[in-house]
Amino acid sequence: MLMAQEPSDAAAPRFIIDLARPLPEAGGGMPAFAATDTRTGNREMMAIRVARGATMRAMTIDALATPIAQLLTPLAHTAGPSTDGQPGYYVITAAPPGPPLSAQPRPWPEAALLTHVLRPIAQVLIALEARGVTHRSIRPDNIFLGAPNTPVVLGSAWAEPPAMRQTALYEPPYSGACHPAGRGDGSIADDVYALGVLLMVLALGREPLAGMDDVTIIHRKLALGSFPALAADERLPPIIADLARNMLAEDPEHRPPPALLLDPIAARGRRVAARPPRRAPRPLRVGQSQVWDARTLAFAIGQEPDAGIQVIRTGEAMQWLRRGLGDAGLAARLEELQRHRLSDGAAQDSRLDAMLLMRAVTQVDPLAPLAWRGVSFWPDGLGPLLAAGAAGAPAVHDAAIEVVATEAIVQWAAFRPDRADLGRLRIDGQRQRATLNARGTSGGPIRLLYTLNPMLPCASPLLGGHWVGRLTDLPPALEAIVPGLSAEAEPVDPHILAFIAARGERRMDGEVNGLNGRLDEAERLMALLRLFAFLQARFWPHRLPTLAGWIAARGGPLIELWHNRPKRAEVAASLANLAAAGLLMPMLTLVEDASERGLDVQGAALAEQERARIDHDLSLIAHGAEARSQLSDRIGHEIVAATGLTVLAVMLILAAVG
Amino acid sequence: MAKAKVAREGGSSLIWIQGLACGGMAALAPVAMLQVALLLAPGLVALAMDHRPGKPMARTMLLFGLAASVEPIRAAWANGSGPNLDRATDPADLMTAWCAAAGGWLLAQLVPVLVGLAVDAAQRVRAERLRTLRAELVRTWGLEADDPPGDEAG
Repeated sequence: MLMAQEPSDAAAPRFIIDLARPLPEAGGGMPAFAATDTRTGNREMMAIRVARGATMRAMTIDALATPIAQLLTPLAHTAGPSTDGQPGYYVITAAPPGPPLSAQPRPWPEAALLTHVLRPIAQVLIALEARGVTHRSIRPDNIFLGAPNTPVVLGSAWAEPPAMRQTALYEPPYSGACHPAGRGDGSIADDVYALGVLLMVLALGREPLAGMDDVTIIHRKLALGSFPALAADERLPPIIADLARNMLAEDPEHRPPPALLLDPIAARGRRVAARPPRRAPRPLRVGQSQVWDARTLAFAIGQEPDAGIQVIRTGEAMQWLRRGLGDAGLAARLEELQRHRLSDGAAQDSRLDAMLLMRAVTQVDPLAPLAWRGVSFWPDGLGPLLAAGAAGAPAVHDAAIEVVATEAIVQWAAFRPDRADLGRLRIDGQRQRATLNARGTSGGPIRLLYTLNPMLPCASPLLGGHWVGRLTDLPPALEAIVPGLSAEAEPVDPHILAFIAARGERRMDGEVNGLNGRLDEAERLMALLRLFAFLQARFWPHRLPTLAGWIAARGGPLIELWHNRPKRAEVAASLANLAAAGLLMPMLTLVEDASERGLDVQGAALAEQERARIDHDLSLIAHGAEARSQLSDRIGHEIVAATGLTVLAVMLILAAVG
Repeated sequence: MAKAKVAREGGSSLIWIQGLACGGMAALAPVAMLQVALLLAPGLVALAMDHRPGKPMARTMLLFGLAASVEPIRAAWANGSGPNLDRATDPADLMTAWCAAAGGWLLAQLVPVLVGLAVDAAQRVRAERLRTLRAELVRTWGLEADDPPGDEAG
């Protein structure tokens, strides 16, 4: 059992999560557990466990603070232990009203589909669109049905990156082709697409194209068009078929808006001019794929970059486009890209090859996502993609970093200006590149990782048993890990520093950058103290005695910054007292006191001067024996002479007076 | 060089004037001069032998000898006829004057030694006070703890 609380309510835990009661089918594929609302006594609650490397959708969670009917909205989110002993994070929602639609597949009557599935979900999509967010997890195992003849309820989709668990069946090909973490928030038209597929699946009572893998499904969708690919051999109710044909339009701009779906008759009457893809009489082989049309060529090039660069370098692709597909214009544009590549630089520069392929894919298929070294993604999926790469996919991570380093997103957007916000992407790209290239502890790939993933927990190995998702979580976690540190270890590492810099939104940059460069022991300890003190002052208004004690125990170099020995003893005693009280800012003030330190330095300089003067005097004394002897002789003789004169004077006076 | 030459020439002139004056006195009052010469004989001898600047030894002996010679000279002139040979060579007067000169010599030997002892004692006290102050500075301010000057020989 663990207690969870609303983000806005720190006073009392509101939800109790019962890890002993897993809800196997309630999380839409994510681990889910029963939970209880302690305020209302409602036991029909659910906690969905967030995966560490797959971040929550921060903007969507914020946008859903107000509930939406027929949608499991997040009520709270909190860290806590999980069943495997690892730290976990949970999003609390209401429990689904019943099993998912995938639990008992059956063909749905047309009327029930329109009444209990299409309209309720369209209402949800209207509400989501109004709040500027998308769902991106519309599939049978994430839609729940309570009592018969009641509207379905859309499951949670906020606890992981958008569309991460969607199979290629429920995604448009330009999204299905992406890395699962890199699909981005997309648009509400992508939810309409998934809803269209859902209607087909429920009408049929089974999934079409069953048994096919994702790549085959995408190939088929690209080659035939989405609706023909799914409905080719199926018998669908006429209204559902018409609706699905519109909802599965290849171009998202051609799909009906959710508001139109409230009136299925009007929506089915909407005709979309969709030409079937032009098919070549003979295929082009790109690696393992045989391509028959332009969009499949783009997909194959994006998926198999080595083979893709080969068919472009040899001109095979252009020849096929010109002679096989009859698209001389597209072939000429690819040849122009090839010429640019040759004039750009060295033949072996793989970055230039990757850039050529990315441009070629975008040129061949304007709907295609950004493809870089075999990894496809949408720009708004860059953050989760980077997180997925950092969690154990080095090739994905390197590709994402390279995209940022080359500002490839800007190049990609420039090739499809009517479908991308070039200005915003340019600013984002420049900012991301600047973050990546920033030197020191507050820049680089790790900082970029946390900047692009505002809900990603700190992945520092030092924080092993703790889920640190916000800066307020960090001070208590540091306090807890300090006792387990080895003698030489520090309670910070590059992950923690980058996390602080990213989450601090420049407020902590100064403190983090203080650890840059070659620092001696005292300077580094001072920088750490300053960092921890500001963390405590700004994010954790409670005592941190263990962390303060760690500083105090290593505080020798800080105390030795003072020259005056009695002052050192005084500072050491004060430091120990403040550490016991767990107050880091007063410790910093104590050792950093500029006026006191100035006086100390001044005093030390005066003491040095005084010692030099004493040494000079002692040297004079040690080497002045001869001078003293001469002086003594002179004085002695003067004394004697004065005595003689005095005696003479007395005798003369006596003689005079007779 | 020119100044030194002028000074040497001035000193030499003074000696000539002194010699001339002594010669004149010896011609005018030979007995009186003999009496003075005998009474101050130790000092005059020291004057010739003392080569230190200012001739401190000779000066002291002459002063003390002169002080002891005041009474014999006054007594020699007290009868109105001036000093005679007997009076000028009176052994008691001579012994008194020479003892006084000897006392002056003794004082000139002892007093500088005593003064030297006093000065050395004062310097030792001062050095000790400085070493204490220095040790306090080193301890308080953590200065480099090397031996102070004068302690190298232990």
